[in-house]
Amino acid sequence: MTITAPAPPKEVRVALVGNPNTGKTTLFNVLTGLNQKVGNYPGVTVERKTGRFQVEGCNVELIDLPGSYSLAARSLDEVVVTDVLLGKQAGEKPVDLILAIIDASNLNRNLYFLSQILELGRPVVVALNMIDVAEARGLSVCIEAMSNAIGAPVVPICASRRQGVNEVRQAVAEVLARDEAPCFNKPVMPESFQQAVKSLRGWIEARGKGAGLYDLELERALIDRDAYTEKRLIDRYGAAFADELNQARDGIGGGLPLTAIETKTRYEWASRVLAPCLTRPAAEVKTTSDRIDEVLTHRGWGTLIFIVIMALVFQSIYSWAGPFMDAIDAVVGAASSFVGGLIPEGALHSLVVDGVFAGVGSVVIFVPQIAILFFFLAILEDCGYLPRAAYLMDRLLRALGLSGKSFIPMISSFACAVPGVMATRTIEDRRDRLVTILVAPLMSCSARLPVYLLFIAAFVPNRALFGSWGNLQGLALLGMYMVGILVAVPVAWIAKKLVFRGEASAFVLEMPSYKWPSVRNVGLYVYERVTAFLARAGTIIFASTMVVWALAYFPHSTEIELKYDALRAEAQAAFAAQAQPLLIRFDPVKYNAGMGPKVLVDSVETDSRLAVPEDEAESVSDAVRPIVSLRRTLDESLQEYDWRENGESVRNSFLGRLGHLIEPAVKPLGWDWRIGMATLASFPAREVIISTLGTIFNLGSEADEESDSLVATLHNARSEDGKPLFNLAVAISIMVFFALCSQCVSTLAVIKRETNSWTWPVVTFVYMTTLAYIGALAAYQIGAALGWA
Amino acid sequence: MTEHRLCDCTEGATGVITRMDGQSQIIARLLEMGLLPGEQVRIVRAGAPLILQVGDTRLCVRPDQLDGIRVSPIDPTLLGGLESVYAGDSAYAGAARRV
Repeated sequence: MTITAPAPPKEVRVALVGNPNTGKTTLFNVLTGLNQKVGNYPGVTVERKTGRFQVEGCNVELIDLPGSYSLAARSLDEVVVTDVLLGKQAGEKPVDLILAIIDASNLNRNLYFLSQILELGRPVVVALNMIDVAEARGLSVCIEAMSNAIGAPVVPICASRRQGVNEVRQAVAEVLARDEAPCFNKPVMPESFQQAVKSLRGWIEARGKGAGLYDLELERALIDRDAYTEKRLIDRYGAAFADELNQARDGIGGGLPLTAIETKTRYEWASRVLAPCLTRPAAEVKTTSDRIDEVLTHRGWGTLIFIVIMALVFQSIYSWAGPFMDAIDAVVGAASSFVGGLIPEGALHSLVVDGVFAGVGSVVIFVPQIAILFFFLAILEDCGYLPRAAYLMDRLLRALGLSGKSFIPMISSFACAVPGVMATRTIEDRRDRLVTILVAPLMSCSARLPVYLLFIAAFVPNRALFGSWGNLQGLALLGMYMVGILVAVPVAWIAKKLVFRGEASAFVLEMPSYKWPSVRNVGLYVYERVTAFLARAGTIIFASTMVVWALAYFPHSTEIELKYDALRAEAQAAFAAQAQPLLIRFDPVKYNAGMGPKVLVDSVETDSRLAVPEDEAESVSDAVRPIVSLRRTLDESLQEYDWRENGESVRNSFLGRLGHLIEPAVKPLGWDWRIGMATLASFPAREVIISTLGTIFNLGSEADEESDSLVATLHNARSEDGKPLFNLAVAISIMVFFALCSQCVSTLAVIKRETNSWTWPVVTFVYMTTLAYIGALAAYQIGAALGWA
Repeated sequence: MTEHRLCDCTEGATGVITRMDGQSQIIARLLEMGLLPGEQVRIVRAGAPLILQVGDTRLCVRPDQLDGIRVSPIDPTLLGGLESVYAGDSAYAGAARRV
């Protein structure tokens, strides 16, 4: 008797394909669970998603290909699908099996795509989804008859209820175990067409280049004039092949264009397949989905409901995220001061506290907003509402040369351009998608809000308008939001006219039946987006914060430190000289004449009886009043020295020197070197300007937008000739600059990731920064002419 | 036989597609989506864009893309199969294939 070790599991690759809205992602999630990897195909913007599962001695790698209607390879998604299936995609091994998911409630159109898949001649398993929806429409499908008619196993599933999933796995294993080549009932193209394909193959094989060439490639090259497959084959076989191709086309003739011949043949095949297995109701059944559509696509009611949904989504982004953001802020703050306490003052301390924690904190703080936005987007997408929103918004957006599909990314960008740019994935047209990515960062995101709030509070009078209905400050805030929107109109228009010219692509949007969103899909969607945000944008914003920190910290002069240490010691000595006799009288046990100024100050600081009340009006007992008042003076001067030290070392830093260098460039905007420098420092993340202004104007970097003292200091700031530095014209110039400028490394990083090229982040940065400069210049010059300077 | 432009039809109207011309990219996409001669189409929402029901598919399309698409009210003689009518390079006018 011999015992053999079990054979090691076989590694197989399975591609999951299907029309959009067939429940493909749901099936993928159910089959692979959390075992997923998301990336991009090299060189293209299409997302590459893979997962794993095991079945009967097979380790299956499942590739989730983008939903597509055809292998005609017109959109980028379709190019990738075609390449992966043909084994032509760079870095991808050929697939061993194709798992095709089809929608039972829309069999004609789904079989159209399936007929192209069958022609590849690879093993195929068909998963028939949404039988429940089909039944609601009065359709009934005989699975066995269908399986026979196609010649491939058909497995009925209900992906959303996880039914039939094991059967799919079994079918995949069975088909993989078969040795013989699959034998499908394929659509038969007209004789003249087949002849043309044969003669083309003959031409290529006569040149000895026929290896690895699928008939399907030749068919596609014949049918899809000027499309991807034709271009690729001409690249491979030379210009002579193009002539050969044109001759072959002429030979087919019959008057009809080849696309028409193809669709006719395929739809006829679909009808033949469906004849024995599909029973239709005598009359069309009106489904719940149809009734919902009557309301949601209604010009009046539909629009109203749409506005209410959008208002709810954005309201919840602001109101729900608040507590989470505060909590994250508190945790990061506590961790920062705990770790900071362990490290002695110096470069390392500053790196950890001002660099690492401030940097990480500024990224993590956006997570709640992103999670909430994607939670709602996932629900709206999964239930099938997004195409309806696109339908309602198409009229508005087509004025910009865009389509309804650009709507969700644009409105998301008012919260944050990062999820906005990520949401452009739903736009299939490449040009529309790029234009949307270009203008999305012009929408005023939540990071601009603190900047607007600070400058409006400081320089716009708080005056009531229209009785008590409005307020000048509120109007100014609205105006700042409008700046971005109004600038986006010509930018989108020009981009569409100049950069992305060409044939209008088809705006054909399928409106799938409504369904209940799946908890699993929504959860995975949010999880995927949040981790992608943290991993990619997180590393870049972190790195750039480090750079700004280093520029603002170095060269670190110990001279400044020593100078202020001396000043602090002086202040402590002055305090000791006056307070010592009073303290000894107050508590002779604790305080004595032998204590030096430093020891004395330390003991006073820990003495709770001598605490300075937060509120100046609060009374203290007569016994300690003179001591407390001396202590208050000491605290104030110590704090002032800290601020001044901070300010002086920033002025001395590389960033400060750079500020002086760029002063001539920012002068026409009404700015001095300090504003220029604060703006420069806020290029990684625009909200950095608040803390930088605080630091520069010797306020300490703990300032926030609501601190009255920062408002007061901006009022008091003087330029070198002694005039007030800030005025309304300068404030507007700064706000316009921040409204238009691309000051967000996360956004640029996400644009890089989404377009897989450095071109678009560079274009975005250059055009926005140029516009910001021109806008700020115009704002200041006009403001000055109106006498606001 | 009366023929209308599909984009001129009123909301709720039903007809059979008799002829399709237009830009080849757009026509090819519409054909793939199941909008082809001989198919019955219903206008779910008129206007710009409009919503069509073809078979089991509901589509949102811009009317200017449907300029060259003609429909006729359902006519029993049409369902038997018609001769093809050729109308320009990228055009496809064809036989009713639904039986």
